[in-house]
Amino acid sequence: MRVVRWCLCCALLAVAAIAQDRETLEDRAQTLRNILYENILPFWFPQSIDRKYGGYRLHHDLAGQYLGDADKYLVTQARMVWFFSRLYRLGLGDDGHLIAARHGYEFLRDAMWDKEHGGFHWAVDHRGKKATMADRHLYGQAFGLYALSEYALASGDAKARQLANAHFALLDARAHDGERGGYIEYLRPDWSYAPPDSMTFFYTTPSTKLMNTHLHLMEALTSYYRLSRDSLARERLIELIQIQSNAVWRKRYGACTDGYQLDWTPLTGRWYELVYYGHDIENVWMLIEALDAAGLSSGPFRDFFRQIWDYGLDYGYDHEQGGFFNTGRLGQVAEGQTKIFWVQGEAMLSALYMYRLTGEERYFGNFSDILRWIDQRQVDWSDGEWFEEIDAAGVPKGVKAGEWKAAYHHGRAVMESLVMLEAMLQKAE
Amino acid sequence: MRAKLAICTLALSLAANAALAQPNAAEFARLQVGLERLLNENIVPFWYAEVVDPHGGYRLNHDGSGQWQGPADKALVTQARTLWFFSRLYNDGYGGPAHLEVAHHGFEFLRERMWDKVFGGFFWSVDDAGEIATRPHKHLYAQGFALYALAEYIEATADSSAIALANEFFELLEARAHDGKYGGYLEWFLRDWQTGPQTGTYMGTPHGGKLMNTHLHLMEPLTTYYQVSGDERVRERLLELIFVQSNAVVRKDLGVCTDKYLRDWTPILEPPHNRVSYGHDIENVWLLIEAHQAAGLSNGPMRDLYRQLMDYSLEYGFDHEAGGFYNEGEFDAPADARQKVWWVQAEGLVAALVMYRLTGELKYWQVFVKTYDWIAGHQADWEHGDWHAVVNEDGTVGGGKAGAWKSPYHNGRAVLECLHLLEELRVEMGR
Repeated sequence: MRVVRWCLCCALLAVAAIAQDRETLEDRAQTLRNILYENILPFWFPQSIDRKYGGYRLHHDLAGQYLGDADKYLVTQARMVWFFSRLYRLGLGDDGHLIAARHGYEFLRDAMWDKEHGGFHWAVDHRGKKATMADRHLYGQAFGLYALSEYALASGDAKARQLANAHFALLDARAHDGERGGYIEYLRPDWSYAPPDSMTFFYTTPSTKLMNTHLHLMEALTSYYRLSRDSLARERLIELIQIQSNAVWRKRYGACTDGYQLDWTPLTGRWYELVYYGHDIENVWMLIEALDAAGLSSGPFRDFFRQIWDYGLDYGYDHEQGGFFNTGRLGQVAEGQTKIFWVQGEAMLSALYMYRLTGEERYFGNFSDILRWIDQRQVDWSDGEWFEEIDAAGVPKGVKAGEWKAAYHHGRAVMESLVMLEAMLQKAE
Repeated sequence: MRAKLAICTLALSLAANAALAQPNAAEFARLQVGLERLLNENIVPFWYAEVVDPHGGYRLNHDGSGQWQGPADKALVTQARTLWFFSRLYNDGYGGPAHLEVAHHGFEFLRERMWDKVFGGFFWSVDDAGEIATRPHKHLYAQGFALYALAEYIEATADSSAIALANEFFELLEARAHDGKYGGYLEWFLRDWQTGPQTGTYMGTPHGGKLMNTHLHLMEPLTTYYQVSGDERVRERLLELIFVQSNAVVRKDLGVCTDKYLRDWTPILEPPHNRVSYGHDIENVWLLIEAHQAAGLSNGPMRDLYRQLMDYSLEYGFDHEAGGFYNEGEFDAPADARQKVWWVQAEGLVAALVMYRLTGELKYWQVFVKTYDWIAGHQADWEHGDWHAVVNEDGTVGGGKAGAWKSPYHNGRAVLECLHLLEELRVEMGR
């Protein structure tokens, strides 16, 4: 019965979504293919592969010049494994990309995994010989699990699956906060509690819970549950859905903020009463995906998704050129007009999810406008990859690759959008 | 910044300790004795055995002074609620075999006279003899109460015919009323479960749409039914109803609930639907907390929502002088319908105590005490028994004692829940 209903549901959604004519859909798809194959992929493959020391070399300036050996960070090492795995699994890449994924997976397994205590180091030296930052932050662990899950799905590698299972069990035993929900974010390398006055990699106290961390835990659990179909993983995913759709929503504003006490009391004050439009909009599509993976209806959340989008459009959207600014105070317009690469990628993808979910034309308009901004401004058509930031004056800033920047946010946005558009085109036939 | 956080944490833990230290033993005893007196001297004696109808089911047609007004249609909502009450009274140890017998009497009427043997489901109402369905169509609000009653009766008796009926009923709701596309339930059907007509929905459900009120009273029975059945499919529906009641029905930029929705959960906010019913919001808080506990989910991620809904009602809908909750108001404005309705006081009483237990915050304890004092002093009718349906702002009272909507469910449940919670708190606090 459920299967029949679900198919019916898909069919109805598809009918709404083919309102766009073929020409429009094909035009957007072609733009995305150009960006993926002529701008993103050639930048990362094969040059990011570190053939000498393993893992990926991620240390490139604004012009894309490699700046020499640097520490290897879990967040971006894992994101690269995820990217190559996903590229392969979506049928957008080839065997060479799966080999590139395996190369990074082996570095995660052999050089970044702590064989004594389990879990991943935050950073290791460029040779992968010693941990330079060993504390466990759940934000980094989340990306480790996300990468292991996608790699196991792409490769069918039983060892990778076992490591993912072990990692999930470890996080559950050591970091899950059963009483209050969510996770203790920051622990010592042996998984003991960090001293209360220590400062985390996110400049918070160890007893702070961040929306950002839990967003990426939900993302990782979504993939891990698709891999494992483990009922405990589904329970944790459901809890993270509740966190991301309720705990982090400021009830009088209809927007999310980042910082919370252990019991999810919102942190207030200048540092915390900020809305990051990128996180809010990214949260929307990740929630849709998490609900889908868990087999739950997204119907009860449509109003929440609309609200988050409307808030972003009211306060953080560039209605002239397309794209989202970075941040603003609760209930106020954006401060500053810098456009960050990942915000544009996540927003573009989120708009397409909303269009598919609701069939509302306006979201396809947002998708098209953000894609145009990306194609014309965020993409560096001369040196490859996307500019990390475009400031208010239109000047590119930042780096191409580093401890935070890899092929994941925007690479994912382009791949997933392309696949969604191709599905819409197929339905239109 | 870190120092500030540390101070903040310290202040919170001090506040929590202070709150836990506050209600002293004498206060506890006063409330426990008072609640037991409400139960045993005001509520139970009114309903038992006055409402037992020798012709089957319960006769519920009593005016404000508790006088029976003669034979009347029997409505599913209150037949089920009364069955629920006697079952729960027995389950909580405040009732005995005689009360269980009265529950059995009501169960037989529900099964034999109100269940539709042709199309399944329960009639909205039947005549006093239970021979003719006077309102035969199916509304999920009332169906919800039937399941609630069956579940509590099963808890009391483990009666195999009740278990079989509940199973058949749940399957029927799955097949006919669950909305697999948007979540929640379609609410309004003809007797044969075809889509109901545009008008006359018994409950003001928009055509093809949904009510918060209905879904609140679907989450409530699924909580109990999951506890007695342990059926994983029931838990899946309970999860969905938790999402409906904690997200779909909450206005995101106001922090209040509204009642009316299109099928896809788009809120209908045109006047007069742009109003807040404090009773529903705070009832929602404690029913959500219970639903989470039953489903084995942490209430942590929902604390901010619970606080928001409670604090909104305390700001705009609470009588800080005399105690008790007003009825309704516009958004972000003080209550404009200021009568005190019995069920709102009952739900407010439980919600305040549940919130005190969840958060340890003294202000919720104080709201509990003030609401109790209002009820014991004004809402309870110590002369004729049970509670006044309405106490107006000028102190006059109105409404019947028993009828198509009033039974011992809201107020009886509130007293039983609070007695149970006080006992748990007493143990936790080492009293």
